[in-house]
Amino acid sequence: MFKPTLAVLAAGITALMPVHGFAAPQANDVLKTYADIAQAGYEDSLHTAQALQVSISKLISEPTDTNLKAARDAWIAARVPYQQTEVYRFGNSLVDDWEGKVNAWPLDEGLIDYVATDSYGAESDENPLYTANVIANAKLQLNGEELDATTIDKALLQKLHEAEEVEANVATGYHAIEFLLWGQDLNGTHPGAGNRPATDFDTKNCTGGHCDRRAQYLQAATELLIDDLQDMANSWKAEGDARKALLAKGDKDGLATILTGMGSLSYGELAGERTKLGLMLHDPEEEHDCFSDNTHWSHFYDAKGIQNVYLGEYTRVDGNTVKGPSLSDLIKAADPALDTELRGKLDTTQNAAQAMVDAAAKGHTFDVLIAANNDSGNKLVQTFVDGLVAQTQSLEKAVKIVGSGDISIEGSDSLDNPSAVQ
Amino acid sequence: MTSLLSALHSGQTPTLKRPRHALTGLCLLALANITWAAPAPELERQLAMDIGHKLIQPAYQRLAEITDHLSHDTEAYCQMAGSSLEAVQRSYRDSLNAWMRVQAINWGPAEKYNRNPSMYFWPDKKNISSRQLNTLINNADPAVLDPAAFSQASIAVSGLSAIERLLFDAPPPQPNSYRCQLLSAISANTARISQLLAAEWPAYMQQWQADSDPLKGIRLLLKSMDEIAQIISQQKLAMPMGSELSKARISRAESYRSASSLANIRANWAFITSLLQGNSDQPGLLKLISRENDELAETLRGLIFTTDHLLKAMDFTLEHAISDPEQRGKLMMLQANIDTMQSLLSADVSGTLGITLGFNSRDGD
Repeated sequence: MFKPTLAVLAAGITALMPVHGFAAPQANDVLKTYADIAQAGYEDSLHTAQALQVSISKLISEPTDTNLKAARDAWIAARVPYQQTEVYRFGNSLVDDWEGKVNAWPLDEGLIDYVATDSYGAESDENPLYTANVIANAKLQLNGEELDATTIDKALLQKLHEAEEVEANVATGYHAIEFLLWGQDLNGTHPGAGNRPATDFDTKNCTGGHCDRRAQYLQAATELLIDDLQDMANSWKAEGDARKALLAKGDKDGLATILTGMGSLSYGELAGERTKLGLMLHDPEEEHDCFSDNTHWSHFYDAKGIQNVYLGEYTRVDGNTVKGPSLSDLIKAADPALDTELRGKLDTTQNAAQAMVDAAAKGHTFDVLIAANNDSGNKLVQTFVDGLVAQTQSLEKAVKIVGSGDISIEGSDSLDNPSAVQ
Repeated sequence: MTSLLSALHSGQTPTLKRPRHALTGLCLLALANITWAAPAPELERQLAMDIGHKLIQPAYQRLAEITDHLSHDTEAYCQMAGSSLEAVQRSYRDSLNAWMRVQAINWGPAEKYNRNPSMYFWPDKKNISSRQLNTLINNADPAVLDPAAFSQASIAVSGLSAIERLLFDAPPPQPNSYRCQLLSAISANTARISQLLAAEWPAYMQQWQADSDPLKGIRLLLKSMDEIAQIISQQKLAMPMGSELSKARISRAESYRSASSLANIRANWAFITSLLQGNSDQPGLLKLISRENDELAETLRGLIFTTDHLLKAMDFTLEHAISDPEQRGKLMMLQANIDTMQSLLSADVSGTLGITLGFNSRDGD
């Protein structure tokens, strides 16, 4: 009795009509640029994760402060390309289904290792594994059964990930690695990040207990991250599944995918869950990179990734540029004023993100900015939220343009005769 | 609270989500192309305002009255001046129910100063409410009890969700304790927000009158209906039920402490249906829909009828039903009906009325 309304989508366009004298690119070329940027972004993420792995191996063989610092720096560097790929997550179901393995957040870190229970607490409504501490426990109760955790390897982490159907059981990905490199940030809303000692990995002078298992965990999580990034980098190559899935959607729905990713990341995810929620809770646990206090950069590069796909331009880690016909070119041909508006809004958001980066350089990291009674800090974060909300409103206009005849229209039953699919 | 959408402007909420539906945006796009004749937009403006005055204003009024009772009951209990814990708990359940009737509205007066998420914060993925309440109680700072202090307080300790923890978790709050004073202060804050919502609503309706976009009101109502349907299905039902019987977990239900989780859903559902059907004084959105697409209107009426029937037959609590194979089956049927309603609202109804819903806070993640 109820018809599948999502079927409305099938559409095929070939030529885009310049209506204001500006020669528009082919929609298909815009999709190709979008896919090329994805491929480059995931390859860069893979390469920087491999560099992280080298640093981590060195840390484990020689657990010195210097080597710990080098591993932390490598993690921060690995976030730069990865965050710029987040805009691909929404709209591309292959990416969305995969993403939880590499960047799930927030996490109940008590699953993984020791925690300070006076601040963290000992139990949670949401999570029976809130303080399971697999590093300290070779046997765990999982989903009502005993789990042998004698060896910590990739397979074990995959079993623990989202165990008990709780998303906060994050056993893999960037944030699990982040926790192992930094430890809990016990500074509340005051300056300072996690301060795990290098000796937590020193089997001869072990602090925190079970240093061998902690090292095993860190290595297994890093190997898994590399495997997963390799999969996604492959998926955007010429014959890769993600690229093929995008192109198979046709021009109009392909463009819709780009806009869906930009709008969903801007609004619900980045402005909402990752930023405004922290502001309303005034809680240092509510920040994306809560162990490393790297949230300002993560937010900056998330926003940058949105801008990249609009402008059809990405600067790679090695300094080279991937560039091609862009959504901006298409919008400009149909509605130059909207293109100017969108570019301006994206710039405004980048400036707001830059202001958070500048504040962090002076010690005012995200967890400090969101503190209760920090009016100027709260305002800085709210400005970033406002920028994202404003750009979402412009993106909604772009959705209308792509959907209407202004960019191009080649007939399709589902679009021209909606009653046929209702 | 949950996912609130517009929330994000200078005073509002975001959301907690996670079902990974990335198709909404695509759907929007396709529908944006529909160009059939929309009904005269001034009629839509008028209908939205009438719905606001005659259906929503009374719900806010009721919320203001009931939370005022809660505040007085709590104060009397904490000062040992003639109430009982049971009476306060009853007032709490009534207040929660009144809130759930308007929970879906996260714009207008409810958007200011984070009022909507301050009234009920859920799901609490990081157990933040417990930690923050424990910190407040351990510090026992009298300054926190000052009504003005709530303007800077975390949403996790500002409203009904915090009250529920203090009122139902063991041990119960003892009169004259700091815990009770905190409970009383939060109850007063809840009543204060509710009064402001009721008081500011009529003036807000006047803004719809003057707005250059005659469809603004209808769009906001529809967005709220669409979003609360998603929240009911993806969070309020799916989270406690888990993927199978053995994964059911009471503590993931929205209001398990007061065993009100199903009552919450009933009230959220009543919000959707009252806006569609109206009442004896005031027609609802079905009036517009049936003029454009009678078949769709009939489908909606049928869905409301069967879902109301299903809800009426549910003589159990959600907290119990998630672990009972037979009752669980009924919850799954309810979920399927809610999903159908959501799909009809986001695609068919919005298309019929010529409305683009736009991005919302539940997109993506």
